[in-house]
Amino acid sequence: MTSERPSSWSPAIAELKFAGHLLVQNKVVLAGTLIAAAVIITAIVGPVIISPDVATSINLPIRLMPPSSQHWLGTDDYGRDLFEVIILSTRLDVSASLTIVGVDLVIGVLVGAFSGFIGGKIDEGMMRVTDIFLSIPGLVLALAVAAALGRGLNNLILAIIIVGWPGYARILRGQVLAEKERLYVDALRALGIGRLRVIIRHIIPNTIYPVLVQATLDLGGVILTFAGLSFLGFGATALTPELGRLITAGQSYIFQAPWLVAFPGIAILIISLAFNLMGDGIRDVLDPRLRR
Amino acid sequence: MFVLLGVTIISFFLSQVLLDPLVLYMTERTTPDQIAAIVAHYHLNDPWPIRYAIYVGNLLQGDWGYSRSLSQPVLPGLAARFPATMELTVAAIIWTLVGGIPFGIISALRNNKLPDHVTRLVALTGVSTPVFWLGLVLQLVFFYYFHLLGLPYLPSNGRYEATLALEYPVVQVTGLMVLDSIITGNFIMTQDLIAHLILPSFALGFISMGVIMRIMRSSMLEVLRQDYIILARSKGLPERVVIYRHALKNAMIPTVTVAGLAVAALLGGAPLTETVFAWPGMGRLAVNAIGRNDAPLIMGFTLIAALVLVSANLIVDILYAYLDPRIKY
Repeated sequence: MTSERPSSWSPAIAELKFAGHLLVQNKVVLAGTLIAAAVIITAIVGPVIISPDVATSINLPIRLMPPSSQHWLGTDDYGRDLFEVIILSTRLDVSASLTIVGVDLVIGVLVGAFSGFIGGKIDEGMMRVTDIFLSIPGLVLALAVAAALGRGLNNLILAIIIVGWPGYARILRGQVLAEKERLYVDALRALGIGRLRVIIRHIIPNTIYPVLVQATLDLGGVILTFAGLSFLGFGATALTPELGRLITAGQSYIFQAPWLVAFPGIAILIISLAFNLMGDGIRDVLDPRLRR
Repeated sequence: MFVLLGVTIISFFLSQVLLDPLVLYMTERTTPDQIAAIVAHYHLNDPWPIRYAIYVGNLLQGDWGYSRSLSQPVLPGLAARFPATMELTVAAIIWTLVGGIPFGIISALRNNKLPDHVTRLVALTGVSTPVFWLGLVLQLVFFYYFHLLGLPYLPSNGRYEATLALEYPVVQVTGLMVLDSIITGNFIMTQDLIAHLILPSFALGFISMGVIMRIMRSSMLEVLRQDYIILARSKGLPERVVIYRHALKNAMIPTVTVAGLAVAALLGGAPLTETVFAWPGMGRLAVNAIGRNDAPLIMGFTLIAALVLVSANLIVDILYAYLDPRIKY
């Protein structure tokens, strides 16, 4: 797909339009994309509509109320309105996941591109490093890194970042290995354009699609990892609105007030599902073999 | 082998460089003299390469450090809980394959029809479900609500009923208690053990089930387009034979690869699932260790997880050769 695209922008825009057309055609994917958009908008707008003070305002007389017309999803053990807290939580979970995947993407793309383009011993060494990272189950490694860094939201995010980049580096390196043999790369080099510029301006834009697809697919998983480690007690503190944390708090009341566990979990499920549907669709759209 | 050495570099870095190992041996009453003695004894002032060599040497000799939260050395502590995690993981793999493969096949055979859409949605939901939440919901439904409704319910946590185990103790043979109870003919406990295993293993397996379903579906679709399938059909072979004898085995190759990777997901899910179900395995141990700053135990768990994953990939490689005789080593 990337093969015939010259490095000017107009065909790229045509390509994007075509991709958008395909995306809209598939209803399930469209639904996923719309939900994902809604989730991101909620994350941005939520704290504007609902005062962030809700998260810290404790109102014990109305704690553990079942869902009602006043409190759509009931109230939690601090007497906070669960619906409002979930909306507020969305921001942290979504922004953390986007940050994690974004940073991983940058690290992975740079490492993969340089490793693949330069080749030789450096490439060999880099790939062995990714081997090592990939040989430890992601969540276990994140757990170990988070434990070594100590508790706290930033450390948790950092831990998941450290675990995530090798996958992208591997995919991009594979792409670059094929791409760097192409004639235009030789032409650019013969024109006297430096390696750095060739890699950043030409090689990366031509090889990045599969990595972008993978990143979208990973978003759903990263949300689960983040919420999972948060559930185990890393990251957010008790009153911080965060979905995994809400489930930890609700766990003690699971038989007494099951909504405290049910609704935050459903929220995580919806967010993750939306990103997965979207990623699935984008993959289908960008993979020419699946277009037929 | 190389990879495992690399993993030790990571665990060394995390436990010895990032965290001050001295803290492990100190209390607030440790005198400066004692600190100096500890530093000398554990070579804490030596250059890193030497400390790393000592670290790896100790690992190889089975000295994985001392766990504060267990009050015992790390390796025996983890080894004692390894079978519980193993049992849970194996049961989860069974759920994964039993659920994933048939539905993947159905989905491929009814491509773009209702069963296909349903299966794909279930698969995606599986991938998107937080395992710890699923565990809690399963407890709520199959333990609490079934109990309330007077239906036969499943136990919500632990590996067995302690009172029952006192009456019919399971003799340890392999450590895998279900297997042990069958070997020793202790079928009352077998029942109880399996009942305890159902919910946690389903919760753990559900995530990977979706992955297997999707890969089974796509590789089956790919295989069904091949010439030899058209040939098999044109020979007049019944559809059943075409699917199960010709298509399935070829479609299994990518599935097996992914199943190997799924082991990673299952090991990653173990700390969460074991915590939710109070399952006495390594994952829960590691989670508890975090609360007590017990770095050697966490690193030990990481090393074992890497070991299991590397072995799983080895098994996958061996299975390839069986599935596709063209692959030789």
